[in-house]
Amino acid sequence: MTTNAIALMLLSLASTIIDRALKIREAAGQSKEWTADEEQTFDDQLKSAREGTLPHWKVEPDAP
Amino acid sequence: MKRTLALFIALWLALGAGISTVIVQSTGCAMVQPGNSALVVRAEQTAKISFTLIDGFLAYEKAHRDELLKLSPDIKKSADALRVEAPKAIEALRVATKAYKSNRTPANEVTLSTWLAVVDALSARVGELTLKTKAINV
Repeated sequence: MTTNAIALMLLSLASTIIDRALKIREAAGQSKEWTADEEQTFDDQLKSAREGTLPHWKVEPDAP
Repeated sequence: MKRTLALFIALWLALGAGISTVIVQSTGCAMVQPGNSALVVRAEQTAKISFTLIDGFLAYEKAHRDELLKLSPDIKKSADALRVEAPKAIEALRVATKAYKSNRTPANEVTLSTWLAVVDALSARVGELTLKTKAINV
């Protein structure tokens, strides 16, 4: 693996960390029950994961 | 190279788990709006935080699968197990949360607390993966 590839991986990782941290902070900052709209948004996201619509949630066969 | 990759993964997972733990603990005593249930608020936060953590791990695993398979095939197996189990468990937590919101009986509270524990355990599994990844590369 080249240095450039490692650097790209590192950048990708850093971006993911920041993105997740912001989302988690947003989720935990709310001290009230969800509204119907908030429930619907989350449930739609969960449905996508359950049905494998989100590509990274789909179980793929192991490479031979 | 393997050590570097393992360090990246460990860092990401540890940071994710650490952030969620700190936030969940720090908001555990936060004021809940009048009329709202602390248990419901916690259940909804847990659903979202667990989903976000697992979603991030699965996205990273898919994006770097080739490199990770060289480290250990167990990482993909663990990720696939999460892909199957997590949506079902979080869905069950959502159903239990809605049931308790509409009818706050002791029985519904027990069911909700049970699914809350199951989903908490899923988040903890992401932390265990960190240790496993580190152990492989020691």
